[in-house]
Amino acid sequence: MTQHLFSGYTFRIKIFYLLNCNPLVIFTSKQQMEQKDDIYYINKVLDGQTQFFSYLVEKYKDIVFSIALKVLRNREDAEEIAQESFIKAYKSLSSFKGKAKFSTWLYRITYNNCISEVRKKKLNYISSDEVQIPDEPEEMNLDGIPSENRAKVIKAALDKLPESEYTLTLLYYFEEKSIEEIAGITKMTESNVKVKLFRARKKLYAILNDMLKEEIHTIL
Amino acid sequence: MDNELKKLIQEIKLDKPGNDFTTSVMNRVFEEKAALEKVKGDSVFGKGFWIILILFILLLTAVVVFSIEGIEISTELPKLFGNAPAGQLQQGYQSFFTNLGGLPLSIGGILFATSLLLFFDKFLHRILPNHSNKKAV
Repeated sequence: MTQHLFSGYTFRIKIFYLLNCNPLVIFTSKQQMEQKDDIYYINKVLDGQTQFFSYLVEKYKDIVFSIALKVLRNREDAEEIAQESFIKAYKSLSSFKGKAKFSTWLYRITYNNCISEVRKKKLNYISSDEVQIPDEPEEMNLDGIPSENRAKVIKAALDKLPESEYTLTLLYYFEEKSIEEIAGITKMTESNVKVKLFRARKKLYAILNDMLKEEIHTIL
Repeated sequence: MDNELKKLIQEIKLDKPGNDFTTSVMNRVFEEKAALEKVKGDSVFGKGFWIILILFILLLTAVVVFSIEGIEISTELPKLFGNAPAGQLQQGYQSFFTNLGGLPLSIGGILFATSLLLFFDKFLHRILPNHSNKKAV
């Protein structure tokens, strides 16, 4: 989806160049453009053309589902909560003022839904304090990960993170949300988000190191 | 390093929900829309509200009319009931409204409160349509 949108963006940039315009004046970033797209579709939905809501569902379903799946650890529950989040967003769409990005607003709904579900079901999930951070250096050579299955290895390492750190990492690195936006989604303080992100990164490197060591052992 | 990690994380493929996820969401969205339109189409004042309001007004009118002293009812009664003993009819009639006159506040209050409750019920259903939908689900 990101790649698809990005290709659309580069396509538009080419068009602007052909028209002898500076694209940076019109679109300063991919995120701003995405926000413009979202607002266009939101307005359509608010005007009664409900079918345009499917564009927003298609665009954000994977990340919403991923967050729900990580928190709830069950596909069925995650799908249910992801659906609920979209329905809630649809019902409250008229209250969305566009001050924040639609995605930030949607992720906040999703995150709150997940937390409520966890509380309702009294699920125990691993808190970040229960997972020990090995005494490993924070940085590692990411080039050491074989390129052919790099995405898989990173995904597997991410999956091993506790849910809150997984969500923060996903929002910060994958969705390119700012610390302020993440704080808004998770209702954490900005300094807390920073600390948790630092810990998450450290854990991720440690997990990746372990995975690489295991792989080397297997090869040897 | 951070940028390198960002690049790597952006390469990952996220878990995907089932193939019919968007369809399911949109079906529910259309259901919500239909329910909302139905609620919007309903009038705020339902049948029950109007019946109770009319009864209340009738009762109030009757109480006000018959509690005013000096109303001549005796002359009209024999015409209505033909050969019936006018004295007894008049006595019964007056006794009914005298007794009724003792109750207006309590009955009126009950009817008025009922009307208000019905009105609030309708009003709340109108402004909180989602609440009623949730209960139905």
